[in-house]
Amino acid sequence: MPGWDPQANELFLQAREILAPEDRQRFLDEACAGKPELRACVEGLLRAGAEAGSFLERPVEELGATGAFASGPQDQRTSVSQEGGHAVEAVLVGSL
Amino acid sequence: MTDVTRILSAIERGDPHAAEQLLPLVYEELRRLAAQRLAQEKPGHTLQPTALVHEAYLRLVAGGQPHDWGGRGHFFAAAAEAMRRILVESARRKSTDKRGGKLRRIDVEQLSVADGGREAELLALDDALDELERHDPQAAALVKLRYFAGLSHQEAAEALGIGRQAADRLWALARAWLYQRLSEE
Repeated sequence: MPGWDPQANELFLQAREILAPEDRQRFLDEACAGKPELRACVEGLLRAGAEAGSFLERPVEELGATGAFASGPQDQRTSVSQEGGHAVEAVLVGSL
Repeated sequence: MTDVTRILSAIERGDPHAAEQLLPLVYEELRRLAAQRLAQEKPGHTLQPTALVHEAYLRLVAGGQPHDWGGRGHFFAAAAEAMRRILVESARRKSTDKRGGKLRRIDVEQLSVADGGREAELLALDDALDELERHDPQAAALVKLRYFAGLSHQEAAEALGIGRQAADRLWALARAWLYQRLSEE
């Protein structure tokens, strides 16, 4: 479970600005010298940032109702239409 | 002037009790709007939470004061939190229903998030957001503004009263931290 380490967070923000892999490694070598836990923490954030893709980039979608207003077949949620002045949209994968 | 604009003005004047009055009002308005919209639709139709937030803004704030982003920021922060609570309550209810036993009330007030296990993801995100909020309230506020209120990067920065660059850094950190937190669960 990741903790919250302000020093690692700051190094993560600096390191992500350094695009060349060798330059980034050099930066981490210097900034985390003798502190393997700090380095692991920074690298964990860098990895997560790189893998996150579209995570949270699109707002949460879809609000329906249960009971009498429950959704019909699952594939109904893939339709997109425009009714009553607001978008009625599908579940979009990738936001979580 | 609506109750909401009155409260926003009080917040702007520094009234320490005004902010706590805002959330329940916005929460109720969002629930009411959602129920109203769903009742007008055919069964099976769904709404976009962020569209509801913006509609609530137009109804409650846009006609009156304040127009500045300070006041708008307070509104959207409350609306984002309200929408988060509505979605999380719905996801919890749905989770309970799936575990069986509980009768479903046929009630338009029973708002629901999408099927397909996404309620579990929403609940996990909610827990992680609580944790993030304890570490860095501004980072959590930014995530809520973007994800639950649907504000753009620029709007969210303005709502928080910070520069775009600072907001982008905060966003990068919050997203990486939350992603890592959820990946390791």
